[in-house]
Amino acid sequence: MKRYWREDPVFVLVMAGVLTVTAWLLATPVVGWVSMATMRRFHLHSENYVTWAAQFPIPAMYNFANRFRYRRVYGDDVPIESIVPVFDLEGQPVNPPEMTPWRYLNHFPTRVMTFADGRYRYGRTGWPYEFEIESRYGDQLVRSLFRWRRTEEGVYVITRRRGDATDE
Amino acid sequence: MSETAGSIGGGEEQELVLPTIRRSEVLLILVQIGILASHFWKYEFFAFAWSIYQQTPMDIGFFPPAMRSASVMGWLFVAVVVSTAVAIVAGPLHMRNLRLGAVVIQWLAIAGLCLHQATYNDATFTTMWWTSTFSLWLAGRLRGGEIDEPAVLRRAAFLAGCIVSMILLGGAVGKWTADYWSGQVLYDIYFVDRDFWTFNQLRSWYEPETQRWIAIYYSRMVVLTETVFGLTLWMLPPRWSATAGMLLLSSIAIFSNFLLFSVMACLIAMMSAGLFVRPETIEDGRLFGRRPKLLIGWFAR
Repeated sequence: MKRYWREDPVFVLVMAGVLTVTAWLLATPVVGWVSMATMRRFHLHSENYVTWAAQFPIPAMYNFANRFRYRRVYGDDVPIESIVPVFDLEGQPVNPPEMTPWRYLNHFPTRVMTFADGRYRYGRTGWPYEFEIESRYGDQLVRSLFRWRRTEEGVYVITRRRGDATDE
Repeated sequence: MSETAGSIGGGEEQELVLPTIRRSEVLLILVQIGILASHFWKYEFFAFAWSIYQQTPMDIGFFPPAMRSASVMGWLFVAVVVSTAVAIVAGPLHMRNLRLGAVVIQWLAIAGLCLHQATYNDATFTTMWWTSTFSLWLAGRLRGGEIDEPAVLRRAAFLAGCIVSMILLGGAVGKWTADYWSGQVLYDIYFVDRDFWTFNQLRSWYEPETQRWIAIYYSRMVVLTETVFGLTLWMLPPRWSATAGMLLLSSIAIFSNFLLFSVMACLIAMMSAGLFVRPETIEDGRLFGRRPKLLIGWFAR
């Protein structure tokens, strides 16, 4: 191996990286904490940003059964019966007072809030929303509840209200 | 590096020497073009996204300030464009150190996009980063003068196959679960309301109940295809691996979503490495010059 290292060290390093990631991927279905780490990564719920960032080379396209639902948050003084449903051009409810039906989506389900189309869809109303996001893999489940609101300065602030991770 | 193209004039013969370009140089340029194609494939979406990110700053309390700044995202995007353009033109101009520097900047900028609040979700940047890693290795190899080109090309083909296998495996392992085997996830994502020719056609032909059955077999086909190719693509002979990989990657975009070409274009370009290996050098099979074969060298045949 020393010879190979001497002749082409970058090739050896890249191959080591590929093998490390492959080992991680093959461990995903059999080692609980590995799949849980990736699911937490999907929910932006890793221990910290550095732990999350360290996983970026691991490809995870269309991983897990991810789904989300949302509702517009009203004050206690607004009776549900008084709310007139509004739909956008794609037929999606804009102001549902109760959680919409679950919809599945591919990788990183938090993108419904952070990605451009989600920011556009919910941001243009200026209303507060609540998002519930869930990822399931075998017996494992990660569920997050986020509150979305717009500050007076026009910044969209998303706060995690709940983050559960369970091995059922 | 050069070849004698013929002779001109009368009397004393003069040889006309035409500059030629090494196959490995052409491969590197092609891979860089693939990266640029991936980067620009969804240009309209990124232009829309750019305006949204500027209008709606977001704080999700997880990303550090730099990694949620719209201007940082913009600069990273531009850095990829400029560095890739430099990498494409610097090679033919024999500025190989400049090219290597450009690829390093490209590699870092794409990593930045993978870690940014506005772009972390996009698989395009994951595949671009791995393709850039491949380019980093190849640009480094080509920085010096003489190289053992057949061995470098065999290594390139083998590395490309390993990277694409790993990416396919990454897609497969997350689907080894009942929700995909039952077709439920892909039914909801694609069959219910996705506006794409295959799914529009299926909706016009079949009742929802039949579509559910199709979704089951579609989903199982996806899981099995990704699994089989993820486990085996790397060990196929270079030309077989390249052809199978390029066809598979193209078919994923053609039958699921044309936007997926942004994810696939760079990988397709990288997989073409196998087609650059001269057939007469494949039998050798060694990844490293005249040295004894690696165990994996047998698979690279």
